[in-house]
Order: sequence, then structure tokens, then C-alpha cells
Amino acid sequence: MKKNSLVALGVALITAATVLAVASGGAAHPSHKTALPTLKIGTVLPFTGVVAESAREMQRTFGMYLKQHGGKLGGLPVKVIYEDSETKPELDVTKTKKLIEQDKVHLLASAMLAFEGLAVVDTIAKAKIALVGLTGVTADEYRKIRSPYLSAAAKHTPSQETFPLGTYAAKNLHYKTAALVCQDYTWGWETCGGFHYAFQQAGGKVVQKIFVPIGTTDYAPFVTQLKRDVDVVYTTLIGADLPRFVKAYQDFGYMGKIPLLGSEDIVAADAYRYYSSDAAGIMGITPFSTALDRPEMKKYVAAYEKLTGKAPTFWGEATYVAAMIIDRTIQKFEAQGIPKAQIPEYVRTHAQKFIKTIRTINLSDTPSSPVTVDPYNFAIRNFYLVKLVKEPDGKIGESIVKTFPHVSEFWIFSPAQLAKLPTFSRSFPPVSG
Amino acid sequence: MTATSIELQQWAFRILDGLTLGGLLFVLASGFTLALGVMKIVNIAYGAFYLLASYIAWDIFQRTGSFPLAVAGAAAVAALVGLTVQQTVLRRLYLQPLPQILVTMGVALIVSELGVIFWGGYPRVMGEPSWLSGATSVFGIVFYPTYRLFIVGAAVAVGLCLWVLLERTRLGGLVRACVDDEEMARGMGVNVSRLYAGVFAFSSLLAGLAGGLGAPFLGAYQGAEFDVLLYALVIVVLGGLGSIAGAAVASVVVGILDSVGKSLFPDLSYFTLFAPMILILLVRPSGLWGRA
Amino acid sequence: MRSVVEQRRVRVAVILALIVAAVVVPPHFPPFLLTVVMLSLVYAILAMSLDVLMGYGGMESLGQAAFFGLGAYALGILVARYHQAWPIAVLVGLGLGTAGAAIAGLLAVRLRGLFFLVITLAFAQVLWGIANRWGQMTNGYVGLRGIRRPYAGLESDDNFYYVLLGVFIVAAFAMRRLVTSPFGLGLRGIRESESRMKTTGYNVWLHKYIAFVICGAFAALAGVAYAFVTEFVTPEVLSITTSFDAMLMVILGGVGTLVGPALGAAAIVGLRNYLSSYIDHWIMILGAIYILTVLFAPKGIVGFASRWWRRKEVPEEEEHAAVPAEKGDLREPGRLEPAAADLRAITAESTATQGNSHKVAALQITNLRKAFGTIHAVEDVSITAEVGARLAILGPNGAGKTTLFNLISGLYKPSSGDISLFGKRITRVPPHARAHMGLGRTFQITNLYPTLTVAENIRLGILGTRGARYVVHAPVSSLTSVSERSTELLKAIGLWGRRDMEVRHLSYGHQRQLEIVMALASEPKVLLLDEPAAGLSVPETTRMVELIRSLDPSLTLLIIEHDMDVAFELATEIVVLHNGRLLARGTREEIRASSTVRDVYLGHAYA
Repeated sequence: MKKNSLVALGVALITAATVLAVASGGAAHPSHKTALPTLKIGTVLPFTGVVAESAREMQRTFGMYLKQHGGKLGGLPVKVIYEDSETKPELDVTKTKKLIEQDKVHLLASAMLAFEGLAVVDTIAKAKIALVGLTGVTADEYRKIRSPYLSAAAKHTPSQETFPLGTYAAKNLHYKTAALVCQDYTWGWETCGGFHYAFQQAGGKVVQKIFVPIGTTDYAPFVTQLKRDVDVVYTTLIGADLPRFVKAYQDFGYMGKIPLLGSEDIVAADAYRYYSSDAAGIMGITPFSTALDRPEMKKYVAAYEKLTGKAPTFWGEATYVAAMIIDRTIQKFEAQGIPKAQIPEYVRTHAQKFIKTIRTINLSDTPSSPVTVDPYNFAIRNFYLVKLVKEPDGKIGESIVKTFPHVSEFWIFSPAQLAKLPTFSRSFPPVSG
Repeated sequence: MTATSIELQQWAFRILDGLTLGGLLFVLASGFTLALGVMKIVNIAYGAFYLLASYIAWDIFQRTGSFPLAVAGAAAVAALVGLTVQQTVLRRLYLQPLPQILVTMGVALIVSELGVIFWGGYPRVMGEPSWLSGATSVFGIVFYPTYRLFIVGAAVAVGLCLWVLLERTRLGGLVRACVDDEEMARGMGVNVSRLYAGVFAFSSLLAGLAGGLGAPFLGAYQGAEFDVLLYALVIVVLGGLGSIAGAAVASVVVGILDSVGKSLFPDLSYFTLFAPMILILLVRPSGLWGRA
Repeated sequence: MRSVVEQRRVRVAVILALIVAAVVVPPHFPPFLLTVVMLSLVYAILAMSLDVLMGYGGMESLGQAAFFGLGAYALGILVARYHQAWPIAVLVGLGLGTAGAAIAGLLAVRLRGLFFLVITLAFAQVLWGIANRWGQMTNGYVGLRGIRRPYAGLESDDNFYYVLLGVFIVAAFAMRRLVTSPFGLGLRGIRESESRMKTTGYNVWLHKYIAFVICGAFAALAGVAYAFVTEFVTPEVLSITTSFDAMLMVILGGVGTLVGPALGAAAIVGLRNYLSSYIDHWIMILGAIYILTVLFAPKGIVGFASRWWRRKEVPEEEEHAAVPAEKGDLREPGRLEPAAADLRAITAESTATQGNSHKVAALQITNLRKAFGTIHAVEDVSITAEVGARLAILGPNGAGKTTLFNLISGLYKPSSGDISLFGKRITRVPPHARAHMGLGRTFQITNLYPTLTVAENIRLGILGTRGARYVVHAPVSSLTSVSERSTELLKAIGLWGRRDMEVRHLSYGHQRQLEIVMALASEPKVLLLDEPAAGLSVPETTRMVELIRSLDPSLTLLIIEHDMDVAFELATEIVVLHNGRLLARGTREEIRASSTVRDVYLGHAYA
């Protein structure tokens, strides 16, 4: 019965071997006696799981920026260490710790999904290390936390995105009543909440709000509940739920009869690529669109398509911009007189300063929009209203209908006004009547 | 439009939603029930077969636009994968439920990862063929999506096929004999291992068929391997181990309870699937149609 | 089952390993590895709790994640959201997890096999759904962060590690105590044969339920620890993958060993954190591990290790017994033994307290009927057995004899009719309660506990009617009265030298003997013997007859027998069943003389 035990032994040996290899590996990295030290950046992404494909895109765009700059950021050679979180927050924490303690990265460019950022926010505070947040820092939680170690300059808050749409829907499109279909978690609550609040403030009324659990397989019961006499339906849904909803919306005869608005997810190229042609007319508010008539965007799209043959999405831009942020912040440090050779260590030991300095750099040339960073480390940027149109060949394409420039997290409201509100959740804002 | 007729419409939708979901659930669960009832195999990879088949159906439909081809291709691939798994791995674990469960879990992980490798993790919802799209009038009360009605028809067809196969053919008789007394069947010259291989392949084929039919409905997405498995488990437990009739009834019950529940109590959406199951099991622990 | 020497070796090795772990690990391992070690300890507790349930109790569950998650969330919510003091949070966490197990157990424990698996999985999934949806409380999908450890000093992993290690050691020790306790022994007996346990006096459902709840409590403990280790809880803790991972850890490590699952947990946690750094699609490797483990290493790591330990296989029961004869042991290898006098001494004890008048019949069966659908297995049977009776029940195959015994012992419910034991109606009384009232039985097809040792089998028989069977905190060996009685019984039937041998390795003859002695162990007043001589050779049969003859006269015996000689030798009264009906009843002479009996059963040739 040798076979019997061989595999158990094999598994035990693999474990022991990898443990030993990695335990010693941290120290064994041969240090080149080159003039410049390497800047080590840690990145944890969910390479396994629902958004695996987008995680890979993010990896590629980071690499793309590096390649465009000779493999350097701020003139320093860079090493990016990637780890897989497997979409498990527990692994986010352990991998981040590994990157900090074992690989001794100087900073992190990490957090793709909402909970990933939240998972590590305590870890980075304990370790006093800077985190340039990716797409996973869009929960209003971050506004509440206001961590001095976190920069969300590459992204915006959820409500920041939908405020403009809410106002526009009421004021410019003259919709009076709306029904909302929201994915039942923070991103859904906050984007819907933003639309809801702004719509209301501009004179509109939200008469129905439906919350849908993530991963709902059958949208029929929800779609058939929708009131048929509303002026507009707004939705925030993610993943597989979105195409299912759109399909049900169509199957049950709402498409074309009641206008459909959405967040960036609904007008993402990866999503609308598979809509039927009846989906023309759907509008969504997004920070990113490949149809933008902006030279920086055109260059970005061309470069990415050359690299992969596919069009980029908003996921990838976050890492590209993160690379840009790191690049220019380091250049700022150098301009302040810190010697290049000491920068990596300096970045590591002056994390709060790093985050603060991000606010001062020039980010007017990111692919999708000029960006300035507000005092709370969030981006002030453009948003675009995208309309899906039917192309001559029958497929769906996009066209930019309106640009909302320089939108801050407060939109047209005052910080004081917003500060008084409870966080956007299932119960707030409440449905009217 | 009077208030009562709106109410009537709402209920018509609810019932139809439930029936159509039930139809899909039955198609999903039938293969699982078959493997379980005949070979006592708990195939955790069943959902993964569904997922793989869904991706393949979507892929074929993208390329060829032919719905029958897509569904047939999906079913064929699933049957092949199932047969391979049975011949290489499951055959050695006959009548050991826990080892089977673990092994098929391993298969599930591997097969669903194939979905990521070849199609990316992105969810794909297949389109319907034009002859099945649009809506049909149901008794003049509401217009209901044709494809969903088609699923009900497909479910009935699958159910009838299975019934005829098991109850009215010689092959079915042999299968039932094996269920009752395998040793006896062997003793009478039935090639039991070939029979079992065939049953498992057929069970996987049904998973593939469900994948093809379900691709426009549920879509192909990472996570489907466990969602679908869960549905199958619920149906099987509710309906009674190995009972096709039980699975049919349970599917309808679950479908209707789920959609009516979601519609009337959207806040309790997540429980509408499990709560009825738990309640029914409290009263009838071996399921609706099961033998104690 | 390992020998005593092996057990001691394992124990020493484990303790040494623990000392090494405690002292050496923290200062020398890099911080990340420390986190991995801490997670391993947490999952080890979870895996061990599943092992107790599965490996010892035979209850394969996919729901331990439910109680793990309840513990983690309760703690997280109380600490992070409501800023409660840690003792309260910990207590509530444990309490909630245990309560969850108590509720789930009510639904699940009466189910077996696949149903049990699915229900336990469903429970975990429902909680997962709640965790995802109940955003106000759990933060849903996003997760609950900011779970601060109790004291500022414990924020450092180096310090917290020691606390966690302490918790682990206490938990492991407690679980070890549990499985070696009388309660734990009972669990293993239930795993092997529920029917025997029932007729020995164990309330099988209650026993399983208590075990389920206790294991749920340990899982909740793991959950509470988890929340403090990661300081962050998401619905992932309740997911299907956590449920399955726990099971893989148990199988990979070695089911039913406790140590194994702890190692399995470390292996999986370690692999998950390290391999995924180096290999894309590491999930496929995990899938392969599932498959390979099951196919090639079903006994897991510990199974492999114990092969190295074992010097010689425990010998089959044959002429060359590897175990030397004990002093005073009268047996010869391979033969049924013992002095008839010894057995009488033993059983006399049990019936000595019988002060009751002989007016009340020991066993009264009235118009008993049992139908399985259209088959009338037992039809209108009435029998009275006085105290001290020696009643043989004869009849051709299919006459309903064993069915009758199953009805009397309570394993079947009658369709109609009544049964009374010493004047008390027991028709509605469950089997285990009948055992407490003095009913015992043996089985026609040997129904022992195959992988348990001879001594353990006897102990279970003794404990069946004693309250001590619920003791969870002390090892079985510490119950002196039980040990003494078991020694007595073992020596009496000459199996003392084989007391540590697994019952399945005993010769058939010895097994049949053990059947009877086990039934005697619970000190019955009425004993049902179902074909005691079945399958025995002629000399073995003679011995068996002597053994039964030696039983105390005040013990009431009902014996099913096929062998006419045996029946006529042992019984003073005979009852003949045919097609479920009582055909004839009388003394030996009457039956021998009866032509109806002869025709039906004996055939014309018997003169």
C-alpha cells in the first residue's frame, strides 16, 4: 500500500518545502549593488474568482505604464509584487501582511473590490504604510474612515458618480418619477442613494426602490414588480446580475417603453457588447469611456489594444493612474530635495506625507479626465453621460451625450449639508409616498 | 385598467415566473436525481458540468447562431466529461458517499477553473434564437417571454422522456433492477458497470442540456457551479432521493414559492429558497416522495 | 486502534511538538508566517470539531461553518459595532454558535447520510445568505472590520499568538478528553451500530444531539478566535468553500484521529497562502488534492505516519496467538472457553436484586401483529414467559421469529397488540428505555462494534444502563466500577488476553460468545437470544450450550433456535411459529409429539 501513503507524504512535503522556501526567500534576495535601489510595490488582486479577468487587466495596465516609462517610476527601477486574494478578504489581509513584512514593499497599490480595501485599512494603519487605492476604495466607508494612509485619488465615491445623473434626470430630462433597482450591498446602496438624493433635491420623486441580493439568478419576479407608470428606471447591478436584469427588462416589455439609466457598469463595453440591439437608448454615468474624444484616452486605448487586442475598461485605468500617481509623487519628493537613493525608504517611513503629497501633483492628463485631489484624498474629476447607440452593423456602441466637469464628492451640495445626512443605505433616502 | 385586473396580472406573472423557474430547476435537477437514485452518487461537480456546458453553448451560439447546435454541443461535451470522470475516478469509489463527494468537489474546482482559463471570469448570458424570443400571450391575461414558456415545455419533455425511458423500456427496466438489487442483476448477466457508466454519462448529459437551455436564462458565470448545485440539492432533498416525480413536484413548489416570495416579500429573498425546504423537511424528513 | 504503547509514544511526540511550537516559533518565524500559523490553529480547532462529529460519531456534516460563522459574527458585531467588553462578546459568540447548533441539531440529527449532509449544508448557506443581506448588522458583502483585540498589548501578533496557542491547547485537550470519555465511547458505538446501542440502553438520538451541540460549540470557539486573529469578518466564513475545506482538512489529516485534522488544517492553510503566490490557478491544485487524497490517501497523513509506527499487525485470531497466555487464563487458543461457574457468578449479581414475586410474568405478549404492507410478518401472537423461564422459539425461515424479537426489543413498532415487561406496558416505550427496564438481546447476525476493541465493546454494554455514559470530561478508564466489571466479564469468557483486539479480528466463535456477554453486561432480567449457535461448529455449539446453561436461573430467557438439539437441551417450554402465527406451544414432549408441528416443520422423516 505504498501508493496510499505516498500522496499524503507528498502533500506534507510540498507544504514543508514551500514553507521553507518562502521563509528563507524573503532574506535571500540578492541585493544588486546598483546605483539606485528598487522601489517595491505590493499589489493584492483577486486573480481567482468572479472578477479574475478584470484583475488581469489591472495587472496589464500597470505593466503598460511601466513599459512606457522605461520600467521606472520617478526614475527609480520598480518591482511590482502581485498576490492573489482569491476574492477572500481573509487572504487580502494575510497577503498584504506578507507583502509588508516579508517582501518589505515600500508602498501598496491595491484593493480592487469594495471589501478588499476595507479589509486592509487597519493593517496599513498598523504598519504605517501608504496605500494607493484602486477601484476598491469607492465605498462611502472611506469617507467616514478618512485614513491618512489611504489615497483614493485614482477613484471617486459612489454617490459622487450618481449625484450628477440624479440632478440631470430631473432638471434636463424632466423625469418626475423614478423607480430604483439596486444591488443589495454598499456599492448599490450608495450609488442608488446618490441618484435618489440628487433626483429628489432637483424636484423628482422616487416612488419605488427594490433591493436585489447579489447573485440573484432569476430577475423575473423583480422586473415584473416594477411600476409601469414611472418616468424612468435607474439601476446599479454588478456581475452576472446586470445582463440578466437587462434581459428580463427586455423580455417583459420594459425596454424602449421606460427609459433605463444606470451606473458605469451598465454602459461598460464588456457589458453592452452582449446586449441585443434593443438596448440602444440605455444611458449610464461613468468616469470612463473609450469613446471619449480626448487625446489621452485615444492613446491609452490604442496602447492597450496593441498590447492585448481588446478594449480597456475602467478597471484597468485605476492601476494605470495609480502608477502615474506614484511616478509623479516621487518626482515631487525628488524636487523637494530628497536624494533618489533614499526615496524608497523615505516613502516607506513617511507614508502620511506621501499621501498628502499626492494632493499636490499634476494629474491633468489621466486617460479619462483631468483630476485634482481634494483635501480628503478623493479625486475631483469629470463624469460622462454615455448613451448606448445602434451602430450601422447592428451592434451596440456608445456615444457621449454630456460631460460633467470637475465633480467633487459633494457635487453641488455643501459639505455641511451632506455631513448632516445619514449614510446612504437601504433605508436612506426613503421612498416617497 | 381596473385594480383587480392589475392584481390578476401581477398574480399571473408570479405564477408564470414560478412555473418557468420550476421548469428550469427540474431540468437542472433531473440529472442529479438520476445519478443519485440509481448509483447513489452525490455529484458535487454537477454544477461545474452545467457551467462548462453553459460557456460552450454560449460560445457555439456566438459563432454559429444556431441554438440547437449550441444546446446539443453543450450536452455532448458535458456527457463526455462526465463519462471520463466516472471511468477514471468514480468507478473506484462505488457506494462510498463521502469519498465521492470529496472527489467530485475536486473535479468541480478543476472544471470551473477551466471556465476562467478559456472564457475569462466574465459572466455570459446567451441570447435566444429569434424564433423563441419576444413574448406570447398567455390566456389573454399577460404577455409572457416566449423563451421562458419554452423552458416549461422543455422540462415537460425531459420529464416524459425520463419516465418513458425508465418505466417503459427494457433498458429502463434493467436500470431499475440494478437500483433494487444489484447483485441479483449482476447474477442475471446484466453488465452492471457498463450500465452505470451509461447512467452517469446520461446524468451529465442532462446537466449539459440544462447548461444549454439555461444559458439565456441564468447565464454562465463563476459561481454558477455552486448555485446550480445548491438548487439541485434542494430539489432532490425536497422531492425525495432518486424520485423523478418527486423532483418534478419539488421543482414546481420551489419555483413558485421562490418567485411569489421574492415578489411579495423582497426583503426575505434569500430565505425563499431554503425556508420552505426546512419547513417541509420538518414534517416529512425523507422528502415529499421519498421512502423513509 | 493503536496499542497502549503506541498511544503513549504519540502522546509524547505531540507534547514535544507543542513545546517546540510554543517556545521556538514566535521569535524565529517571519511575521507573515506567524499569521499563517495562527490561522492554522484556528482552523485546526474547527477541523477537530468536525472530526469529533464525523470521525468519532459517524455524522458527516457540511455545516460546521455555520457555527464557526455565528461565533465569528457575534463576536465581531459586539466588539466592532457595539463596543462591548471582550468577555461579554466572547460569551455571546460561544453562546450564539452553540444555540445555532442546538436549533440545527433538532432538525438534522434525526436524519442520516445524504440528508444529514444536505441539511447541515443548507443551514450554513441560509446563514451565509443572512450575513450577505442583513447589511445593517453584518455590513453584508463588504464585511465587518475593526474588531479590536482585548488589550493594547495583544495588538501585536507576537503576544496574541500565545493567547491563541493557549486557547488551542485547551480546546484540543478538551476534545481529546471528550473522545476518550464514556460519552465519546458511546459516540463511537453509535457510529458502529445504532441498533445495538439502542438495545443496550443508549438514547441514540439524544447522544448524537448532545455531540452535535458540543461540536458546534467548539466550532463557535474557532470562529471567535478567527475574528480576533483577522480582525475582520466577511460572509466568506459561512460559504460553501469553508464547509468543504473543513472536511478536506479532516480527511487529509486522517479521520478519527484528532491530531490528523489539526495537521490537515495546517497543511491546507499553509498551501493556500503560499502556493497561491507561485502558481496561477492554484485552485486546480486544490481540486487535485481533493481527488488524490481521497483516492490514494484515504487515511490521511496520520494514517501514513502510523504505518511507520506499527511494528507488527494485530494478529488475526488463530492458533498462534501473539499475545501470551495470562496467568489464570484457562483458555487454549482457538477454543471457546470458560468455566461455567464463572458466568454464573457474574449473572447471579444481576438477578440477585430480584425480589419481586413470581406472580407477575416477566414478559407478556398479547395479540401482537406486525404487517409490512401486505406481508403479515407476525400475526396475532400471544406468549407469556414467567420469571426464570427457558423458552425456545422455533419455526421455519420466514416464520417471523426475528421480527418478533425486534418487536419485543423495540426496534420495530407493532401494528397492533401489546407487550409488557414485569407488568409494565412497554409497547410505546423506546428500545433504550426497555433496556433500562431489564431487557437485553443478542442478534442473529453478529452485531458488535467492529472497529472497537473487545474491552470497548464490553464497556459499552456495561455503560448502557448507567448514568456514567453521559460523562464527557473523564476518560473511560477512570471509571473503576466499569473497569472492574469489564475485567470480570472478560476473564470469565477468556477474552482478557484479547481485550485490545479489534472485534472484527476475532474468530467467529469468539464473536458469538461476545454477543452474549455484552448483552449480559447491562445486567438484564429478560434476555432474548437470537440463534446463539448460528454458524458454530459442533464443539463450539456444545460450549455455547454450556455457557447458556450456566446463566442464572432467575434470568428469563427466550431463545430462537434452528438447531433442534440445542433448543430441546436448553428450553423447558417451546413455542412454534409458522407464517407469523403461533402454531403450537408446550413442553418438549408435547411439541415432539405434535403431528402438526412435525408436518410443518420437522417433516415426516423425524421420528
